[in-house]
Amino acid sequence: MEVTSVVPDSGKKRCALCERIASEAEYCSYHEKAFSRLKLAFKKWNEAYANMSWERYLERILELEETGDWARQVAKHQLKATTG
Amino acid sequence: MESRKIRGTEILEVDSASGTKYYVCSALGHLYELSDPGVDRGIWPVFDIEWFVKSGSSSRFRKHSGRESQALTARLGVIREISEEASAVVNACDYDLEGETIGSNIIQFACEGARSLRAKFSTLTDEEIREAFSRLSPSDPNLALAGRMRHLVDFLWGVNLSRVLSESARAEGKSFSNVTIGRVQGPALEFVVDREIDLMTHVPIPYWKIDCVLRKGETRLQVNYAGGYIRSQSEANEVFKKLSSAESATVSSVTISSRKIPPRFPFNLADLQKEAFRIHKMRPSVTLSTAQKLYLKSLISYPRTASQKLPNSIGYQKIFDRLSRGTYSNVVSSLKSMAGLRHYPLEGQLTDPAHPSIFPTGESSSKLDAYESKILDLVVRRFCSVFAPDAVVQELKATFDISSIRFEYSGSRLSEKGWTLIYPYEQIGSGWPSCELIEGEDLEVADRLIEEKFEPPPPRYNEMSLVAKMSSENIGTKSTRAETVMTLIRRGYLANKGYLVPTENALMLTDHLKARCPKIVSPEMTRDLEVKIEKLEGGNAPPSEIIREAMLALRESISSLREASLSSWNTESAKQSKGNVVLGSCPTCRTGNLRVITSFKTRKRFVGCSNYSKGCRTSSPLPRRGVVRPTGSKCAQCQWPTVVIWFGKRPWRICPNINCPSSKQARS
Repeated sequence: MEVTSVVPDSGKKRCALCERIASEAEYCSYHEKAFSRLKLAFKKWNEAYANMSWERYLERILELEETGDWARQVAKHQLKATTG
Repeated sequence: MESRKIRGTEILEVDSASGTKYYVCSALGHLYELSDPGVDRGIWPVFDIEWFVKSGSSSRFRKHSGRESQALTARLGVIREISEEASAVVNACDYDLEGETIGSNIIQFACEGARSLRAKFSTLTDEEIREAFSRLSPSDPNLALAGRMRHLVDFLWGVNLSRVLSESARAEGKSFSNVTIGRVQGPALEFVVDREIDLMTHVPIPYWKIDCVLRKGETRLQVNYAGGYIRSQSEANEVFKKLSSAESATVSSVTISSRKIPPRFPFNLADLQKEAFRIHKMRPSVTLSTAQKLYLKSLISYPRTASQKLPNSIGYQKIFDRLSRGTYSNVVSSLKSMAGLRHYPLEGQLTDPAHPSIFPTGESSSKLDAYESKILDLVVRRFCSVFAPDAVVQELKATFDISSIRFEYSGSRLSEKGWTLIYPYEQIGSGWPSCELIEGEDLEVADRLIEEKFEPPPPRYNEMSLVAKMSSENIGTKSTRAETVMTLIRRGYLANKGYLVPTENALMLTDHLKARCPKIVSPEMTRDLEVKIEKLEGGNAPPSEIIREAMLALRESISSLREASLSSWNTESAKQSKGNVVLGSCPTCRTGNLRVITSFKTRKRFVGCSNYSKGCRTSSPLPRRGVVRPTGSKCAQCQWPTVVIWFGKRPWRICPNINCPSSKQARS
């Protein structure tokens, strides 16, 4: 499981998914935006499928070729975090 | 007409019918360029600039004139010498901002004190050139001023931002690094980057589409659920369940209407570029350069125009007469045989202060390459079609009742071809049913279809759609938009894969600029400046206001860039300089980072560890082409960071380790 890393030489926190600098959250601004969109879209998926679980939603998102790369990376990371 | 050479410069001596003798010398584009007189290229900000004789591309230092500078200086010397004996100097460059700038610089700096006149023409036919010289007018100072103003603002922007960004990028990096961004390039790049972010963070939303296939005799008709796309699975299933028992569909209503479709407007440059791309897949820069060649061959009028107007003065009948004697005689006779011809062309709203829309001169040439033939064909047919009658399209809308659920169908067809006979490049009318539909009749339900679909991501820009976006946002000029896109590609900010993909450098630069000085990448400031420069052309805006605003915005931006600690930029640039994309940690030494490195000598790419100097020799070759990006994941087999390579239509996700079994399989 990827963890947020702190690079000793710069003192800056790095994104859990890429080398970019992370803000206060665990992701950089791009992956953070992808994460926000995942959370927003989850509400619409719940309306579409009724009571879909977060894990199942992430699994479906990962199956779709329409999903953007950064959204896919965050979905994979979140799924790992949820399922362990 | 006689030709002679004076110190290597060709001069034509022309005796006009009125007895005036003309000495003609070509300018070869801009002979003067802006530069700062200082020698130290590391100093900024730079606001003290001058016009100098253009130097060679290899060296801008005034003390070391390249061969090009010497040749241009010699040419200017000849022009000066001839002008001293002349009663006036005529600027006969292309009649637009750039042509005005070229000519007025030569007249001001090389022919000091000479009386200046302007020849204005839109085509290079003998007739129009003679006409232009018979009605020479004083030069328009506003046009020259507007042209110089644009150069001034672009230069100040480019030189200052490039220096401050390059310095900060080199601050901690060990390799030489130049970062540059122009006034129009910034917002154009931002459009592409914003689209890329949208695409990369896209999360598809599901929806359902329900159709029924009806049968009447041998004809099958696919009708759509009138409620449109359904957003919930339960609702979709409910509708579909009702349909499953339906065996027939009743035609509830049938409406047939007719609509006239007028011809498309005469071409301006933007529309010509769009059509050439749509029909022939020609890039906008190629369309412009091809149109320019046709103009220089006197086959079409000046292509850098925004106008959709064709004034009387161009002589419609003369053009048709000439066309009917050449390759397009059949097009002209088809046009003349149509009923309801227009005496005057259909025109659009857009105008241009200097030129009408693009039209053919009617002259013919047998020596055209494939691109030239295609563009000329478009221009001739479009010109002819604006005199043609409207096309008429019939539209059918039908609704159906299937188990009390409403379905609908629409289709259309051309009932009168009109202008489409002359300009046949548009598909108008489709889906007209091959059977008659009668209200009240029943059709058999042959099939029911339910499809789960997902919203696709927004499409990436290609060269044409980016030029169109710049045009709609009013940034850049009609002549420079295509070139701006090419510059972004040449500078390594965009990769052109048929669609435009921003590189990691572009993402980083835009991010940095948006955070520190958003004006640089915002279209608003650039658009305001364009509007003011256009007003200046008409003498309606003071130049001092334009300079003041541009310099204020520039000072603000430079201060922000200077004040920011730049630590994140510096750290990133040290790693990302010259496109050295960091992929992730090295699995061999565990303390270094694997990066994409391009060999300066061979231009080959490979993955290498940042701890090379400390002994880590981890490396692997990469394909030469394609944009490489880290995925943030690791290969399950060898723990190398995986990459996605954008090459062709689909991205290629691989482990870059050439010795990894998964990589071997993917590469085979």
